[in-house]
Amino acid sequence: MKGKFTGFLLAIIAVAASAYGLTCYFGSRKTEDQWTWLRHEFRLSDAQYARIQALHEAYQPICADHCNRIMVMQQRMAEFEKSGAKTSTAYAAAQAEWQGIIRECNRATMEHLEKVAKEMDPGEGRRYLDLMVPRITRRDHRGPSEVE
Amino acid sequence: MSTQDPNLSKVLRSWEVDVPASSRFNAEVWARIEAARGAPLPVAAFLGSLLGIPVQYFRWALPLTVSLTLAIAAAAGASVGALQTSNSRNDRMAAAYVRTIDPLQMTADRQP
Repeated sequence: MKGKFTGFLLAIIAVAASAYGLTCYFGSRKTEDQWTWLRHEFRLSDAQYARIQALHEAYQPICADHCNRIMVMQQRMAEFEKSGAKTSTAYAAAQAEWQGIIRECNRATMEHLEKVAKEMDPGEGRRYLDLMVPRITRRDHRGPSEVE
Repeated sequence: MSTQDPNLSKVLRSWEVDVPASSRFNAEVWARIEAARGAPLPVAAFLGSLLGIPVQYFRWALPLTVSLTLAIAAAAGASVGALQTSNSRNDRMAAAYVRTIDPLQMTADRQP
């Protein structure tokens, strides 16, 4: 009786583990890009999807400008570090400028996220912000040398 | 009393058991087996009366319970797997999406 019960428990564990493994395996084989995922995950209609893509396109030049400014700033900061002038007033000014760029980038990115969220259904928009905002704002206080 | 009673030994040697052969012997054995098969287990009878379920349905109770338990185990395993896959895909896709709109991450990706 005890042997049968143990066998039954093992069968339950084996069945549950197999179902888990198969689901994970077939789930991980699904290949999609982030746009396809965004469309399905936030249940976007064709019109919403088109408007969000248009917002994304419009945001790209702003994002590219920020990228350029960040890269220029990173280069300047690296030169300061190489020359050992980290105590100079010029370095302090550069650091303040760097922090300003970071704030500006974060603000622009947040504005973009909010615009995109507004195009979604209210519940989906909140879920979108909940998922995306932590990935943006957690980079707030990083210095140029910390960006990997 | 002697253990070697010659009269008793003689009687025992001459004793023959004459069992009349029953023509329905096999049929009676099978009838008893069928009756035992159909008879409710005491536990089943008790549970049946407790739950208000006719006792004859308890013949299916064990295989049904086993099947249901295994089906629930499979569903639970698949649900956990689906939830975990979905969470991990959401993490991966959200990170990929954010990399297309966050200049800090874009520049970090471009660094040698």
